[in-house]
Amino acid sequence: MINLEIKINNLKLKNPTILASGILGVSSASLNNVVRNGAGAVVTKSISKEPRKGHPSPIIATYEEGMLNAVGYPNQGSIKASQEFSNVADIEAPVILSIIGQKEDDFKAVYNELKNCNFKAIEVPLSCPHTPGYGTMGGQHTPEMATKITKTLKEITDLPIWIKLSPNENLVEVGKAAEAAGADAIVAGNTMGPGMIIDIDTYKPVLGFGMGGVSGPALRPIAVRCVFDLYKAVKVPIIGCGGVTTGRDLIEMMMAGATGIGVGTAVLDRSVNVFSQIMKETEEWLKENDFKKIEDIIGLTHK
Amino acid sequence: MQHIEQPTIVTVKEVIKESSNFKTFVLDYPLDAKPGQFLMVWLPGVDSKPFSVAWQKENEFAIGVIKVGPYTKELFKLKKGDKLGFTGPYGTSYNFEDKKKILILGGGSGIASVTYLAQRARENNIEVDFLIAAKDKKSIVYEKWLEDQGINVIHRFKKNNHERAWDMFKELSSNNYDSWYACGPELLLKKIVDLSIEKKTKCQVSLERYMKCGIGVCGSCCVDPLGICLCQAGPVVNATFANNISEFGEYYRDGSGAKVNFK
Ligand SMILES: Cc1cc2nc3c(=O)[nH]c(=O)nc-3n(C[C@H](O)[C@H](O)[C@H](O)COP(=O)(O)OP(=O)(O)OC[C@H]3O[C@@H](n4cnc5c(N)ncnc54)[C@H](O)[C@@H]3O)c2cc1C
Ligand SMILES: Cc1cc2nc3c(=O)[nH]c(=O)nc-3n(C[C@H](O)[C@H](O)[C@H](O)COP(=O)(O)O)c2cc1C
Ligand code: FES
Repeated sequence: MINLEIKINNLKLKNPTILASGILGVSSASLNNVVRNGAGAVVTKSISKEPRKGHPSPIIATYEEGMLNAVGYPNQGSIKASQEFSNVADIEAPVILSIIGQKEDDFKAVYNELKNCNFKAIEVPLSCPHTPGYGTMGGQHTPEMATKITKTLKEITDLPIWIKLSPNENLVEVGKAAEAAGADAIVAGNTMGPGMIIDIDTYKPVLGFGMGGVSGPALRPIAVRCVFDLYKAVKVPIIGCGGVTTGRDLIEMMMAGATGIGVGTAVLDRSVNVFSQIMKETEEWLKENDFKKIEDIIGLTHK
Repeated sequence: MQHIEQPTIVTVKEVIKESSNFKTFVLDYPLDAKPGQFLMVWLPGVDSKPFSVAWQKENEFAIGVIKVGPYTKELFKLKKGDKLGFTGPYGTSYNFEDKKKILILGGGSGIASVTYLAQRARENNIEVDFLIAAKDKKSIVYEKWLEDQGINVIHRFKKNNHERAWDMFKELSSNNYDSWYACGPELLLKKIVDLSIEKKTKCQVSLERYMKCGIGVCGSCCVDPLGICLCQAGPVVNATFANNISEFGEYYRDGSGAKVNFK
């Protein structure tokens, strides 16, 4: 038997796969379904203080090597979300709350509204590339903002704070600032870009918002390099995220230094059961290569 | 990626005004959809929304649309020769090939999902009784189109009887049909599903949930308590499956994910 468990902060995961925020995850039932399909942990769709409708469709377009999305953070807002997610303790894997906001007070307000829902950690994306006022479009992906937002949340909660970075630029700098401000883990990372796909028959961008973040296989080598760089720069655990679709991809990302592995876009090509499939493939490789514990491959590339 | 999701652009061949707020858009494209499947229909710069395939021929197909809000208002401005885009077809379809005699109910915009089923059923020489649920005589659509294919069309304004669609459905259901199919107001679908379980009759219904991507990624169409996406597990589901959806006939989620109660 190979031990597939990993630990991130005080959380025990039965395996390193984590549902990336914004893919499925709109309801407790949806998170539960992802856990039934093998995920080691799940992250909610990002929640804002007030309800948001999100961008018009198409919210997703794909091309040969990847996906573009501009969903625009639709969510029911913190008050209704606190009812929706009131029972996440019933879900048989850790559930992580993704919080978005514009001002520091927004993050506080969302946390306070949802603090009794039994979430096991808070994830904060400073890195969405296609939503005005948020992430890279809201000037949040800087060492200063990372420090401010991390401190704001650390002051009001004992839950681990995971800061989610952009692969675009400044990743190590922002990651180090977040760590210094008390962040308990770094997620590397969000989608890249934004990029654009134009429909050449109508001359118009395909996405409703015009442009959108790049994810999927196209992003994977960049995400691997981001994790590799970060591993040398920070001590806190790293959650690698970007294009992981197979067991081989997960192993690669862990060798670069990731402890947990976010999986999002791969749900399209391999269905929601992708989590079980990735872990089956991983387990086979570990067996063939005589590893007893998955933990032993973390950061191997650096050794 | 295995799935390339980019719109196909098609020309509007014809616009047919079926009633004051119902239009059929005939589109110039050899679509390969099964009855019950839907498309995400894209108006560049506006939005992309789910619509069933209303019928399909060798080189053209149609969608039937009720004007209900901003998107459908824009869609209604389209004229012959204009272009629009679509992705799909997506979702599950009706099983009918092995049947001999079937009962179909179509109500509201839902009629435009079962018209294609009726077309295919007739092509397979299946006997079809088609009950149209409508609140007034003016909103009866596709009556002649259905009759021209040898379908027995039933609605309350035909005999000037004032029975509600549900009462007429109950009455008809005592005939021996191999299966029932329905798409329309969800509270009516719920009653039909309950009756089919009680009578042990095969039954499929098509359910509408808020759909933004159509490909099982965004989660906007997830249903409680299963947590699965109706853009892939549906829109067409059988009665047992529908009954396992606790929100069926109770509530749905809007574009932000917030619950909205039926009634
Ligand atoms: C699988 C499926 C098949 C459908 N087939 C047809 C059809 O053949 N003909 C037809 O007229 N209508 C059909 N609809 C409904 C159609 O998608 C909505 O009427 C349309 O999106 C309304 O947009 P609007 O901006 O005009 O109205 P809005 O003012 O935005 O909304 C009016 C109503 O439509 C619902 N709606 C809005 N956007 C969506 C969406 N993206 N997904 C689902 N519901 C939505 C709202 O919840 C509301 O109840 C179908 C829906 C689904 C899910
Ligand atoms: C459709 C879609 C929606 C997303 N929504 C969010 C979101 O709400 N919050 C967030 O932090 N990241 C969001 N992301 C980014 C993902 O969580 C992830 O970081 C990124 O897609 C890279 O991983 P992947 O290639 O495995 O998808 C979204 C990505 C996609 C494709
Ligand atoms: S519409 Fe996006 S998952 Fe079903």
